Amino acid sequence: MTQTEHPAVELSGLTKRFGGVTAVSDLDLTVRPGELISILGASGSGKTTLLRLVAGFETPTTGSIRLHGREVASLSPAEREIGMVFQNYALFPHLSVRRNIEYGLRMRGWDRQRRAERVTELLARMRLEKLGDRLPRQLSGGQQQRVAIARALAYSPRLVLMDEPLGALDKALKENLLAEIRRVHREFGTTILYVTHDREEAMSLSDRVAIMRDTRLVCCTPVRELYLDPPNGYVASFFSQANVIPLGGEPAALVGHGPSGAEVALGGRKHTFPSPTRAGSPGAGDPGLALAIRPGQVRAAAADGDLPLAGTVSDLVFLGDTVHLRVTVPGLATPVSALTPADSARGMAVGDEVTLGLPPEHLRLLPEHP
Amino acid sequence: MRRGRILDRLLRWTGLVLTALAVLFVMAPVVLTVVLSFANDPGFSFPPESWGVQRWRDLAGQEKWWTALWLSARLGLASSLVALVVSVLALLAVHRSRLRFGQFLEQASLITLIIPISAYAVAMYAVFARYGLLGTFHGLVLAHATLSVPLVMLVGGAALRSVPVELELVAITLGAGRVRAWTGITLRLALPALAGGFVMAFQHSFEEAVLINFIGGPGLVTLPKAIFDSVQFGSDPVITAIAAAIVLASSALVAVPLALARGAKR
Repeated sequence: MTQTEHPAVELSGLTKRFGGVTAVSDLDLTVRPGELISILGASGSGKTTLLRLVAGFETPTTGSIRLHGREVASLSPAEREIGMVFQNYALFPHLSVRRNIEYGLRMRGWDRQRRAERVTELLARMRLEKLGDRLPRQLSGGQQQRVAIARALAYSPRLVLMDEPLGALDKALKENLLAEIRRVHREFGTTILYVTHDREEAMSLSDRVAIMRDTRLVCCTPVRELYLDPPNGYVASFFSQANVIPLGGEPAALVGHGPSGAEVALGGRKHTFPSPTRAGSPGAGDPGLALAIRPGQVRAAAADGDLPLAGTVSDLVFLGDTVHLRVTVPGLATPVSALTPADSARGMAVGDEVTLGLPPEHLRLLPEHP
Repeated sequence: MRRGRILDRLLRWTGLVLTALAVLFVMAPVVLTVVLSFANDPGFSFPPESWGVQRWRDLAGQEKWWTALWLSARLGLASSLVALVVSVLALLAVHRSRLRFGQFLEQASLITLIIPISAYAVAMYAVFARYGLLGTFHGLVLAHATLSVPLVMLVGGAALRSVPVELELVAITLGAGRVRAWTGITLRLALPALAGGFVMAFQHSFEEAVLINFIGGPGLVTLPKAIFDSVQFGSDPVITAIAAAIVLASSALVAVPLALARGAKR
């Protein structure tokens, strides 16, 4: 087997504890060469520690890290052949753009001629041609991050790690740089691990999204599949921003369970959903199940065949073509979100009693927790 | 509106006058020493009755001043260098490793700033007597370095805190070794502060006049000690020339790096 056929990153049973605090627990993840994977999670979920483990800034408590088939436990960060991009850019403030990009090449003993050629090439490819002699503080945030990316790519590492690289930029710049990173990924073919807490960044960038929650990897799935068919209630609400309605009795309950699926009662009507595939099939009354539906699929008024859900409008935001409704439903801790065409919510106001329609074909029966 | 403007102007003028007074107050003794060094009277009198460069001529002719100056300079350089090396290593240990009690260590290093120097000198005398360090040059270097470490730690620590650790991490992934990342990036960025700390340490050692009475000895007369001795056993007007020289030299010591730093920023 040649080297290229090995996974770019192979983590197995990876655990990191700081004193008594666990930051990453028992994590398995395989990344193919050339893939761009986002690691998405709230702060404190362990995503940054995961990146630092791969980079070699931390040593795992247990478990193994293999990069391109090679166990790297004993390798220093330099020997792991990675590029690193940080949120604060981490450009060397006393060196010009050119010297910043050149730094890694210099450390790796490239000769003058080769260094100059490579830096010129990178400046061109990152559209920084005219800025080569500037100091970092003379650049805008977006330009600085482009320099940081160029510096990370300079010696053609096979893996680039990015730790919330766009966290400090405003929205317009962010879009811009996301496009840039997508382009870089396409053109350079580098494997990228991209840590972020922003789901839209993750969605617009990656081949696959790995979601971390409470030190654990919840899933690592192609982004469309993850969005359309979330594996559990947590991912549905965190990533797809879906409404998650636990089958706790009010307003929805699990009433039966047969070979054809699970029968759910909601708003006085019953519907049978295919059981979610999960080890240890849930029995009747299993409190661990929930229904999920994205706001865009909720109807402002129940139609024939919809499962009805009655409540009170608690918030209404007019967005032009659509209206964002938040409806408080007795028995649910969080209001149900509905994104409906503006016409269908015409005349509706905060405080109105409404009966939302949940089309069964858009409802998913899921385990509530990962 | 109009009243506001008058008040504004009044405040600005008061501010200017107060600043001028403060500068005058600070500068007056300095200017006075320099003026006095060009008096030609046999004793101290103000205003001087005659002028000349006799005191400077005397200074140039008396070897004891030059010996003292040479000792103070060597002592200042050696002890500041020791303080710098110790402080840099300690700062790296505190800020760039997962040292337990690191912060405590850093604060503990400031203790010599707080303990009154005379008390400290007594303690040092006892210890130095035990280990045969009294009246030796390296003993003095050690004592002065101990007093200078907190100065360098304070200034250098603030600088090191302002250098993001990510810079070092990036350098390391780019292929620099730890030491290379430290010297080329972190310490390089803290260099102006460390240089400032070094100058402060040097000055601190150069003007130290208490400790030397305890742990100095025959043949180890620093410049401040020589001045004290000269005042104690009579009043030799030559010390005004010495004082003026020290004032001018230390002003230059502070002004030159400041001017350089300003030039570098432009």
